[in-house]
Formats: sequence, C-alpha cells, structure tokens
Amino acid sequence: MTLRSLILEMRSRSHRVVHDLASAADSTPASSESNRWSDIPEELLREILIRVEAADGGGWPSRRSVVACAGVCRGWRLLMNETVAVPEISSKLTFPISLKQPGPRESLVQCFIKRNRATQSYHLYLGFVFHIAEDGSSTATNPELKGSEDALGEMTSPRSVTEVSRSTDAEVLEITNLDPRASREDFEKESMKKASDFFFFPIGRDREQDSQRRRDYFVRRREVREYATEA
Amino acid sequence: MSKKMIVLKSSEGVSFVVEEAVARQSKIISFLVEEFPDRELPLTNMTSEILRKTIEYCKKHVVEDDGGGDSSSSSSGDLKEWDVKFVAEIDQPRLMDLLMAANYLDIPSLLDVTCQKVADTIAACNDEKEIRATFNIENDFTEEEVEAIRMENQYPI
Repeated sequence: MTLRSLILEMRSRSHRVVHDLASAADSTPASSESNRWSDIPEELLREILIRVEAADGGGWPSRRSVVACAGVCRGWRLLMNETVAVPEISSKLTFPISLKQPGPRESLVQCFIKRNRATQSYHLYLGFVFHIAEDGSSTATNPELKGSEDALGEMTSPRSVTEVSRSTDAEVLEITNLDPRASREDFEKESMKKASDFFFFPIGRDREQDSQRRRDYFVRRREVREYATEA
Repeated sequence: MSKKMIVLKSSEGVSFVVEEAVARQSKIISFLVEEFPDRELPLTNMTSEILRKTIEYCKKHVVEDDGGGDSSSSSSGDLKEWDVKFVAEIDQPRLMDLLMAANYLDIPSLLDVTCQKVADTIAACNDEKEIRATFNIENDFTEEEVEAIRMENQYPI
C-alpha cells in the first residue's frame, strides 16, 4: 500500500470499511507464510545487504558472508554485485574469482611474485605497485603508474591508493608449500602453476570483456614469468 | 507539546490510541495527521501485533528523546541496548513484518535496527545454503549457474 493509496482511502473512507476488513483477512495469513523473505522489496534487501557488506570488513579471504549472499539466488546476486565496490575503490578482494582470472594489462591493479629473503618464502602480491623493496617500502615501477599520479588521483583518492598498497602488504598470499631451497627452475615451474591462476579480476557480467581478459591471460602469464626470473 | 491523542487502526480493525508525539516519529503519520486532523488512521497492511510492536518502539524512543537532556550519552547507550533486546525478541516472520512496517511508516531508526538485525542473522550463516534455509528462499539458479558460481568461489591456492 502506497502513501497515495492511503490518502485516497482516507478520502473515501466510509465506502471502504468493508473492503478493508476483507483485505485484512487476506493479509493476515500472509504474515505467517514462511517464504515471504523472497518477496522482500528490492530497496529493503539492498539496505540489508549494504549492512552485511559493511560489517564483513575483513580482508580476503574472509569475506564469507558477502560471497554467500551472492550465491543465494538471482536477485540477491545482482544486488550484492552492485553493492560490492571494485578493489581499486574498496581495497578489498571479495570474490575469489578476482584472483583466478587474467586481468587486463592496463589494469590499475597488478600482480607479481616476490621472494622474501629473510623468511625464504615467495609471495604473490596484488596492488597498485609493481615492486616492493626488501624493507617493505613500495615503489611504483609499473610504467603505466610511473609519473601518472595525477591520472591515478582522478580515479581514486590518494588515501585509497595508500590503503590498497598497505592492504596488499598485509594480505600477501604466501606460497608456503614451496621449498625455498628448490632450484630456480623448480620454483618457476611450481609458482607458475599457482601464479598462472592468480590475477585480479573484478567479477564481471560482460561476456565480451571477459573473453578479452582471457586472451590477455597468456600475455600476462609471460610477464609474471619474466618478473619472477628477475626477482 | 499538548498531549494530543491520535487513533491508529490495524488490519484487524483494532484501534490504538497513541500520543501524537509518539506517532509522529513516523514521517507518514506525521504527514497524515496534518492532512487529516481528528481522523483515525487506517493501517490496513499492518496487523495488531506488528502495530503494537511499532508503537512500543516509538514510545520508548519518544520518552528517551524527551527526558535524556542531562545524561544524554548514557541514555543513548541504554537506548541502543534496549533496541538490541527489542529486535532480539522478535522471530523471523515478525521481523520481516516489522521491517516492512518501519519502511512503510517511514521510521528511519526502526528501519535501521531491523535491517541490522537481518544483516547480523545473515552474517551468522556459514554459506548460501544456510541463508536460503534460514530465510526460506528458493534457489532459482540453473544447474549451470550453480556450477559457474561454485567455480568462481573456489580459492585458487
């Protein structure tokens, strides 16, 4: 019942009393029907999902509730996909597929492998930067980002850039089951097996764009390999 | 403010007499009271039970708003606690009704606590199956879509 219909009803109140009582009888059993949640108005479900998204603040891979909500049914999936911001803005990785698919070469977010000499382990990094120094400081060596702070600033505020870089450092995926003493060849083989599937990919509904990304995949894969060799 | 009373009528035709200040927390009622003074307001899509709950909430909040002058911080903390208890006592179908009522009557604070309660319930679920079971939502994905989502949701490492 809308406000408009309520006002109309108020104006013609005397004629409507019987009808009101009849519709009341209809609507009462509805409240005990258990599947009414699927009829929840979209704007209310959106309000709820926004709260789920905001509360589920942990870094990847702990965004379990958000991923679960996106798998409930079509309506929920659509709304949740609209609610979740891309990692460039939210600095959060939500959908695991973000790590599985090739990202476009010009993507702001880049992926690379780096060996940590101190802990003798290899890390996969995902972030705005393309290089992280031994002391943990980061430098933007990605040619597309170099000297383009202004362009970057247009897309995201400087603050969110910092946050992404920082959360990148915090959320590295350690390839712990790699033997650090393995030969470079073994490491490459092993890490490629894992890293080839490790790419940023905001969940997309655009099939054409997706297939373009898959074509880019092989190019990106080679780049990661080259970078790993240098590291 | 003079203690003007207004009458709200539930879908069962039960009349509730409430102070105007209490009822005016609903922006819709506030508007209707001005449009139609001295008339009872029919809320045909609201059961007596839900209307009673809504009024209970509004009463609590109007009292706190009036009397919380000297110790506002502690009273707002108490109010929060009261809100949590208030929604905790409501079962799933009633919660939906109350949520709809808050939305329909346009009571932002009640809408907020009810939405939050639902969000918390969702967050307590382990996966989409549990959410579907909790809220009795039909899975309308095709088998192919389910498989695609399952693949998407697999962690690569």
